[in-house]
Amino acid sequence: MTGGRADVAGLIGAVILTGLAGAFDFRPAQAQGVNLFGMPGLIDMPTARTFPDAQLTTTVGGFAGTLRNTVSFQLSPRLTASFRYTRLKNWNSGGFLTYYDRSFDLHYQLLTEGRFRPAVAIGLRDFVGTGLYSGEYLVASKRIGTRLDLTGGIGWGRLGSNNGFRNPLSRIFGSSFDKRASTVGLGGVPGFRNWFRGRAAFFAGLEWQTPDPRLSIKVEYSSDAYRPETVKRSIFTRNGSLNLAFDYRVSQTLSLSGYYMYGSRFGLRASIALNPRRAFYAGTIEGAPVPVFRRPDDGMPGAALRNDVSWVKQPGVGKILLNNLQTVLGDEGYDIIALSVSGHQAKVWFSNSRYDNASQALGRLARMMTRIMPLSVDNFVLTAVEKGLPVVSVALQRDDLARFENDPDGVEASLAAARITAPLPIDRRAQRQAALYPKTEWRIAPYIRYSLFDPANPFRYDVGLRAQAEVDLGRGLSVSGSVIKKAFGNLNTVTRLSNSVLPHVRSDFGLYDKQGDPAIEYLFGQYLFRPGRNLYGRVSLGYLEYMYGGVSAEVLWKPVDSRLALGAEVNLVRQRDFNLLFGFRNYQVATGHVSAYWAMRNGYAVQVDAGRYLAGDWGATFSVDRTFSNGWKVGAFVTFTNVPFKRFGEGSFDKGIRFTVPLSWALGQPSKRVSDLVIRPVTRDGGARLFVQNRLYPLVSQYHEGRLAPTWARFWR
Amino acid sequence: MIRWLKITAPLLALALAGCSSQPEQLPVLTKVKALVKGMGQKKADKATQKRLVENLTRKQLVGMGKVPLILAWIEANGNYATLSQISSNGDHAVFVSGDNKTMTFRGGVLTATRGMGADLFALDATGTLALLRSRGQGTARLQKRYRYLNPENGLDEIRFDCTMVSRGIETVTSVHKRFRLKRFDEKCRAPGVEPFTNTYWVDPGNGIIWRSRQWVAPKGGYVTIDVLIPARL
Repeated sequence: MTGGRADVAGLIGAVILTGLAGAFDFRPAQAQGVNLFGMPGLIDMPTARTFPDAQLTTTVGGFAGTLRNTVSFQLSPRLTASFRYTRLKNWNSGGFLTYYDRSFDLHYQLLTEGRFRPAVAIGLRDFVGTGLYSGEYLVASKRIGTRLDLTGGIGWGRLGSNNGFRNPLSRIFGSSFDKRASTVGLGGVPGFRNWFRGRAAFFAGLEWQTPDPRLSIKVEYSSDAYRPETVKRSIFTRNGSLNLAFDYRVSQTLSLSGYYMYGSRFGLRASIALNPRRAFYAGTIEGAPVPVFRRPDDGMPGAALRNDVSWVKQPGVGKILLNNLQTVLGDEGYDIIALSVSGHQAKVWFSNSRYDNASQALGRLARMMTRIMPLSVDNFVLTAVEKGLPVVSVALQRDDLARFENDPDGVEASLAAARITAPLPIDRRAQRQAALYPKTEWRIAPYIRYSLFDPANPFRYDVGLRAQAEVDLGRGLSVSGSVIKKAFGNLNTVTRLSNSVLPHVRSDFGLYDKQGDPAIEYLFGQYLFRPGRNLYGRVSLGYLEYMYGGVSAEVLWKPVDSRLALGAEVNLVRQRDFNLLFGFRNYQVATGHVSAYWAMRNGYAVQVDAGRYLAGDWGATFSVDRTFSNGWKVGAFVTFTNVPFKRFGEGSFDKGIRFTVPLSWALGQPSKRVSDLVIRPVTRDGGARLFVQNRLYPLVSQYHEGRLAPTWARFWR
Repeated sequence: MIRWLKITAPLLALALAGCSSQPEQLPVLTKVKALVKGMGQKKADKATQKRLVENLTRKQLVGMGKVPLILAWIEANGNYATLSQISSNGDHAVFVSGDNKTMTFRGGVLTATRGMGADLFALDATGTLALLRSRGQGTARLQKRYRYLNPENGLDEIRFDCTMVSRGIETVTSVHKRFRLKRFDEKCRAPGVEPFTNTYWVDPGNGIIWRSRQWVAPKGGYVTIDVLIPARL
């Protein structure tokens, strides 16, 4: 039941855009092979296949009043992970007329397919939930010819419940493998004591590719007896174990299936597959960059000007050059904050609001400088400034730009020649552009706030208008605010009150939704600064987030070429009034963390935050994200604190998955806007962190070498 | 239906995006504009455009100024554009269109495009140029490297095995002017990519490629270029 803070409107826009545009993409689609659990598989059963690396698959499907909504992600070429939210109608027990269940799956391909060797995969279904769908499997798949894909496997748990036999593993590991406990509890804890235990059963199936490459037919023999649905309850009648399906791939993005299940019911499925590694549009469509101006070579007319530095003495020359640069680059979202010129060097401090890719922002500025700077200037030092905070400096030789512009290997050569260093502070002698400040940016747009997974109503939402403004006062100082006014929605109909025995630091979200209209989402002042060479600092003061106000201070150590960063944050905050205006409640807490960030070479990023959480509990959050150099991020996090699982309540500990989708990817042209989406199966009070805007690591690291180098091609775009 | 969806999706995204102090930041808007514009341009319009361009005389076009000028026909979308030279860097010349897309040429061989969607990021033209300049007979083999920006902002490189075939002298009408030009076909193939053929019509006297049909990118197809005023370096 997460209060949606994400920019969902943007995400929905992007997804609709992607989904629809993808629907026109009639290239022959690669077999998606998605099953009703949204995982690589046949109908209810798994296969040993995987999805294409990095594919994000959203699946909605079901039969007999059961609806499974799954988001799965191909974490690595072999590992698939998924989160599922299932609705079971006519459950009629345990106090639920309709039952809602959350589950997580893992699927790992042990062996890739060879000429004679089948692909082999192992999987855990519903391995941390309450265990409704708990089952494990070992499965093999082999393609025969070009059209037929055969699958056979052995399952445990639910997947071992139809025509089962004694667990073969108990012959090896002893009779303890014969026992499998029922696992309904608070949920959230991996049921590893049950994995591969209890009776086992075989399943099998095939997929036949029809001559139409978009259509395939599937048949399977299911090893799931559906006892909870058909024996303990009568949700449907299971008349047989054979399931039939057709699978129609409308495009690379969209696939549809129709089913005849267990001899009694019809079912449907739709999946949307997005892939950060696959372009949505062929290439990029923003206008061309300005070409490099090449200084006259020796012996050519004007070559002597390369040694003529007399222009430096001209009064106001710094201001003239700065204004010229601002004039030609203003349309591309550049602010030239300061310029410091000498006879042979030009140092510029700039910010950019358009190019989400830092290399591209640097490249366009550098090329323009070849056209604006006097001919004697030999080198450029470009310092990127983000929200008033200098984040990186890149030194370039002017003649290198001309030399590498058309070199087929110019990307590599220019990267090797660029010197990427810690950001230079603005020179005392530098000409500043005073007219920039105060600079106000505002935005009025519709918003959607939502709350998921409340059994009484699993999808609640509010729609309204949001007004945001940010006033940049220069030199790292800024003031930001956001106000929302609801137009319609049902977030205020939450009736479930928090039963948490901890201080209600997050679980009273329903009360905020009820009383906070209109609401001040945030209103705070912020100061970003550089305490030292590889150090960055932030102080924020005010209504920091939806539920808390106070003061937050952070410091980050991040050398520009380091994959490791360390940070510390201290917050003194007080809980805000439910009406979300200016008042506060009585709860006050000192919270803070020390953090370590590790960006691996292969795109995975690990973060550990250890410290004190909002409820005063102590512990640590572990996050892993797979990051893509176009800005996509897909990750998961878990938090363990000294709050025992029982005291924490439903879900046992805080955990969730998160996605960042850059709008630029969906549109094929630059934009700094992204959609962030965080899904928590349960929002409770243990392991809850303060939300603070402009935490330093994401702000700073996007300009550092680990991010610049892999995308340096964009320097020339 | 498809057209309706194509226009609705970005409109919806636009509605969700709202408005701001920096409206030029909204790429959605540009997209909608482009689509609306593209939608109006039916096949008949493109034919009209083609006729209009063809009816322009070389004199009319050249009369516009002394700036080096080319006429490009992008086969993938049927669009014509005139591009004028804005820059030179060594033996490379950059031409820009009215809507700020650029093509870079080295000795008449296309080496890069920017802003055309499926752009050619960079190309090693050394081998092609050497063969064209020698203006020899018969068949020669060469390797060509084409580079593309991939969705993860890295570079993909395709190495093509090519053969350059001299086809002899042909009479070519390029924008109402008849030329006697030597034709070269450059046939290229690489695993997993549709093979393509670049064609260059070279002036036997001064070596100027007055007309060429050059392949840009796997999804970008061909562009046909007629030189009105040759590049100045």
